[in-house]
Amino acid sequence: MSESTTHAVGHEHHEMSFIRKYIFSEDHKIIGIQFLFTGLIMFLLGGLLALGVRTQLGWPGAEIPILGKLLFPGSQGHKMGPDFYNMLFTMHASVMIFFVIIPLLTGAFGNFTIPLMIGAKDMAFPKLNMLSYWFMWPALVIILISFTVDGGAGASGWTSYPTIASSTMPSGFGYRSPAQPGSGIGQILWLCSLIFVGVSSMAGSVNYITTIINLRAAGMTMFRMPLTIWAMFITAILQAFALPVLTVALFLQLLDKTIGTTFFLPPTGLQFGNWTTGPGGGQPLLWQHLFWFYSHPAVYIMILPAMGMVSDVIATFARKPLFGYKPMVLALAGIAGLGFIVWGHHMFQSGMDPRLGTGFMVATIMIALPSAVKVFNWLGTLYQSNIHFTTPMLNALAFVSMFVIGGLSGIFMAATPVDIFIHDTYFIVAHLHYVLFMSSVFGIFAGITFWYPKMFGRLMNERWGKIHFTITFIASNCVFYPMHILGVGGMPRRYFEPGVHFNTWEHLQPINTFISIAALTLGTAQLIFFANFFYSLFWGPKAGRNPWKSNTLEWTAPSPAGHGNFDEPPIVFRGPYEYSVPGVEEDYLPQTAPQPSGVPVHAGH
Amino acid sequence: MVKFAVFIVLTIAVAGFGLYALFPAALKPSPGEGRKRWAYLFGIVLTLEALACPFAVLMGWWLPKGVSTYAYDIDLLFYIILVITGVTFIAVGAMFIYILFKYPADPNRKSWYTHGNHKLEMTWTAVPAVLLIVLAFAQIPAWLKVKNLSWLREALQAGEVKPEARFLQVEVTARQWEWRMRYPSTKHMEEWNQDGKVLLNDVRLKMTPRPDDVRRVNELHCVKGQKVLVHLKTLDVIHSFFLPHMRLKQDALPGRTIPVWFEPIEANCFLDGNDWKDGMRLERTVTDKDGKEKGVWVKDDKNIWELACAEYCGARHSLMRGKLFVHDTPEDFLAWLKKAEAEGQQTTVAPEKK
Repeated sequence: MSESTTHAVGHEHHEMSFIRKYIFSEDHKIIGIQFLFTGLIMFLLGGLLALGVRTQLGWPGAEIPILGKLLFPGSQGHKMGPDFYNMLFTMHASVMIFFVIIPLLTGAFGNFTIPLMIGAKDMAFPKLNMLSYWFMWPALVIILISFTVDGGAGASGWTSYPTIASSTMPSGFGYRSPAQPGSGIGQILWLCSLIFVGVSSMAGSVNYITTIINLRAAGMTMFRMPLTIWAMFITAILQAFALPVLTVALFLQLLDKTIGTTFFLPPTGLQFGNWTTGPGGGQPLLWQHLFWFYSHPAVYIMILPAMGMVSDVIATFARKPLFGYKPMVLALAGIAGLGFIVWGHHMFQSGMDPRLGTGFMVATIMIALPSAVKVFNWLGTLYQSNIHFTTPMLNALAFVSMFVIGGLSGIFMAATPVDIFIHDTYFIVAHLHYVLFMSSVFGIFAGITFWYPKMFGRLMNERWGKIHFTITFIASNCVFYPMHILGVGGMPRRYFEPGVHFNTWEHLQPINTFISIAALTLGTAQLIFFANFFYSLFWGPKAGRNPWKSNTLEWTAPSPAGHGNFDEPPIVFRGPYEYSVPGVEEDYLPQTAPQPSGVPVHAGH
Repeated sequence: MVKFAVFIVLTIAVAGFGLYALFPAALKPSPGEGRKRWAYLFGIVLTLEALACPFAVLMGWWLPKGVSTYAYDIDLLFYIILVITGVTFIAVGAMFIYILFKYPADPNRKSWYTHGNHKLEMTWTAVPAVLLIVLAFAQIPAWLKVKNLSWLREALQAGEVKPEARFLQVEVTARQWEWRMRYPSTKHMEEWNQDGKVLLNDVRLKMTPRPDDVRRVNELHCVKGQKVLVHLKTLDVIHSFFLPHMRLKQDALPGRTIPVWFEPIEANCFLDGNDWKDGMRLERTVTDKDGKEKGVWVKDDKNIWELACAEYCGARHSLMRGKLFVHDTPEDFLAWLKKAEAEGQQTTVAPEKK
């Protein structure tokens, strides 16, 4: 360590005020941690909304103890009404997708890991990075305010299909919606909030692409980058190309809602009860195309970074080089590439030309291929390895096994004839949660527990980490697996009382009750994680630079790393996964360690 | 309910045993004892999930009875995919569990230093690729059969329908929150029966409203063995026309009339006194003293066929329940239609929007 660098780093520290250092920070690590805290707090909110949904589904029409008295008027008998329920499931999805998973995966982990893992001092555009975080705030404030406005928060589903979301009353009626109370001001705020989230994501993704292309350390070629970085890179590209389409769609619907344009109103107009809208000049289906053109790639935005992180965690704790590094990179790229041409599979039953559906179907089914390649390579990595069952590793293993289920169930819906039956049933709810909860969230848990020592300089408690993992793993399977069965029974999603009014689904209601019990367990178990997280911030055992004996660059920096990250600019000699090299005494070989003499080590390209 | 209680008790027992077995072990950080406990956790969960499928079939938590001509095609594809994904799940899961049992960290063993295997990569890319392409193309015939209405296109091209291929047309208009059905009158039906060209003309004009149309709410009537062409519309928001037993689902889009069709292969209602009663199954036919054939109907809950809305449409989305009555013979249907015509004046319906 050279004297001058130490001095420079120390000097900068002293000059920064608390606000500059921790609040309006330009340091990628602080911004990453800010995204992490924001995401985790919203994770609590989204989880509570989900528990509200499950309470209604498990015990439809039951009086909710205590909360029911506080939330629901006596005129409803202190029971949840359908409008409230609709708001719950809409906001659960919106919060979880736009304020939890995307900010955690790309915002928190993207920011934190990219400069550290490629050996850069910071992001290419630190100010833009700060801006990207602070653009989340208007979005957060707007979405939280929307719960209090007339009619409640958005209640049109997170997909906000016109015309339930976009239709408006004639002038003089304010911004109320003829379709339902939640599609009034709540919907307008929902649209505004998402526009801000979009700006935030866009600023982030431009920054990630530039940083990864330009700021890699000496010797860090593209194919020596850890898979986390590859995943972040590909995700950022996806975001940069898909997001503008969503932003346009959001603006169009906002115009429809506020100044009376008719982008999504058909020429025949609409008839709500006793009054009719004027004729429009647009198409409701247009929204679905625009929305899914972003939101299908968004599904991959929500899984690719987790795949990357899990690959790193698995290689580290299996003490074995990642099996098939290049096929893994190609598979990531393949998923992303195909991800752009499959959005129509959300619309098989929408009234889109059925012949177009066949094209989307073939492309969609082919996505199973790169996904399968990834799973096989993870298994290949684990084969004949030394598996250390640490908390991050357990969460990563859960990711792998659960992603298998989520991937396989996708084929049912991709197959258009089968989709006719299971479209918009609980089967899709099961599938999407196996991908977004059982994969992405386990990936997030793996990432948090893995990089926690680097973020805060302390280790999380392993014992409570494992207890949290065990309960979460069992309970989440009890929640989401039976939903497949409900879906095969044909039970439609987004029903207020799915097991009540229909003879076809009455006999499935006990499963709903079972799921709800498991969901309450699952929700409660997350408190263990939060307790562990905050306890360890202050009282966790101090971690050294490299508690996991991992190869990648971030572990050569101090824990927590100061401003500027590294003591001196790192030089990279090889790929990130050289574990258990024969002839090397230790079972790992950091990327910065010079080539050992006389030992043939795979250098990467 | 008893079955469910058994299920709950079993689940709690298994989960309880799992927690009991795992927790004391999980709390011990020693690497030696209980190295395999995590393999057990993953093993138990994945095995239970594999078993949940046959268990659900056993409990009757499965596909509702399929009673349309294409229900078989769709169910067959469902089972093909279920077998393929099931075998894949079991194979991958077994490999995964095996690895967890076999390779927990052992200080005396070093991991296999390998970066992959080109041949292996090629194999596990090529084999699923071929399988998936075949699977994808196998879906196309059934999809086009259900959604592309090739039989109707052919009839329209030929310009006529054979008498035995005459089909029924109904207009279904969804709104918040009910289904409005518009049937042809008996006179209108007669015109269709006399001349297939009139029938086809009505297809082209999407059944232009006539003063003698018969309107019903939330009741869809049709005949066993006869195709039904539904002109699907909506007045307000997107709804979805979902007949689970027919394996049919189609969104209704504001501003468009979307044609959908199905052909029931079983009847579920008969004239009980003055009312048409559904949820019935034709058990057998007997010949009475006068030599007239008569059906013996038994009550069967599996024959209550419902029409549901499958696209979220607002507050009463889950209450948009319609009923499907499949009549045994065209005569039965006509008898119902006549009765409905007579009641017509009593049914209040908002004026048709032009």
